Amino acid sequence: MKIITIKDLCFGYENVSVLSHISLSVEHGDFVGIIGSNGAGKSTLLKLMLGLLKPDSGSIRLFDKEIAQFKEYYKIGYIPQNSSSLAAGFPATVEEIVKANLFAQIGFLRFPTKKHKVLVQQALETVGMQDYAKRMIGELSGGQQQRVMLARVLINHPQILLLDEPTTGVDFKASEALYALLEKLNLESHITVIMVTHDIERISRLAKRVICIDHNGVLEEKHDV
Amino acid sequence: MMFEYEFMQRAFLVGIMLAIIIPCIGVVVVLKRLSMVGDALSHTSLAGVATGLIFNFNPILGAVAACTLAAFGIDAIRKKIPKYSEMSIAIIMSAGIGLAGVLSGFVQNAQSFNSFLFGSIVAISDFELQLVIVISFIVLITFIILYKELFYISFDEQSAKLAGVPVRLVNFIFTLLTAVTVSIAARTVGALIVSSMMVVPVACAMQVAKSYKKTVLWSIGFAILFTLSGLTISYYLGLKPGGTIVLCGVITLLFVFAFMRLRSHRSVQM
Repeated sequence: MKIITIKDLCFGYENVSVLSHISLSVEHGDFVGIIGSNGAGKSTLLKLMLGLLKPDSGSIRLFDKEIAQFKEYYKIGYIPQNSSSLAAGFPATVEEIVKANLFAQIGFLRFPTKKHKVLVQQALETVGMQDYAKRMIGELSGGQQQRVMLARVLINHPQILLLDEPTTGVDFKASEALYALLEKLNLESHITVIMVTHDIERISRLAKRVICIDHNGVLEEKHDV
Repeated sequence: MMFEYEFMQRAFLVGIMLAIIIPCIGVVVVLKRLSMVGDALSHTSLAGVATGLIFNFNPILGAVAACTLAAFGIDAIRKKIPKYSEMSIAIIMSAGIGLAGVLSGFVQNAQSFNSFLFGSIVAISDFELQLVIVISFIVLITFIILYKELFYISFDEQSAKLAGVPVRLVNFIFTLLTAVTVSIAARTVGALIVSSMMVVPVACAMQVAKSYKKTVLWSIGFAILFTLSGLTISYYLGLKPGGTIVLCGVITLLFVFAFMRLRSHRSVQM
């Protein structure tokens, strides 16, 4: 089953072309690494996949729906670039941060209940951060903050994870642990993973497909690397 | 005793109500990195005050209208030039001050206009007292209802949008709340210092609180402390209440900074 289908996608910022004639598709259960030089449009591509940016031309389909019609964003977990920088100095606990993403389940103008607290604890257990629920997010290391950000998206049981350079600013050991966790989620829970990264060596080892993009489109695609 | 006077009872009542709602708005404003918005709105409110005084309607209503227009003006300019969004605050503030300056020349009673610059919490009329009660109630209830939405938007607006939070609607409501709060606060602590009432309690709370919820509660606690101590000191020493309240806040902030530094220094030594 195709989760994402992109056809002939073009996009530019203020008349400067960033992505040109990109076509690719992602199947359920894929682990896709997206690589490319700085400014190649990797993060832009993720934002287009999420509907946060509108393409100049071409089409994007999510879960077999045109992106303009797609509303089930709880199916997607997105961790933006430098997401842990949001946490620096923000006066909130790990529990508060993770619980915030339960909005779709709690509902507009409604209050969280004990059931939601249990869901937060379960999500934190998945990423091994259950003992940090009451800690301030800004007190954690970069690796721990990224795990919390992962718990924040996993709480909605997404079918696909979009990660934008999740190991930036994270030490070697912590990023190894994060990669191992993503591999486990992909293999055991069959969560589709799309990750933008500069870490070519590790993504080549882990991903089922690696896509290299630049301004001219998809340069190269390797399967089962 | 100061409570023998009705004007002091009113001052304390109004002060406490504002000390509850201003930090609620302040927490979100500070965490969205928009601390200067309060300053821009309060200065613009003076244009509304002057209009009210010229055309003989209540200046607070004029301030509410001017603040609301200014708040949406900031939003509109920010969307036009997202890369330099902070310019929107400077533009609206300059426009507001310019307009207030021109209009103030037509105000017959300069004394009443000046009372809005530094506030006049001890000279609150019946109508203004009722207005503060109603607006405080509306702001507080709305803040509680939108608590989780405002929290998520403050932390990460993009993710909040993806999670289904109606970001535009919540931001619209919050802009209205900010404008209304700043307008009524301008009457009490003064337009020139209202933004510090919005920011200083939050700055103190962020030093000591260990969660977002506690940051909100500590901010309210600090604001009440500043108001009570400021009003008491100003009564006995014959000082301007608005300025005294803010100075109490700034002095407390310095003590909190010193205390936290001392505590972290001790924990390193241990």
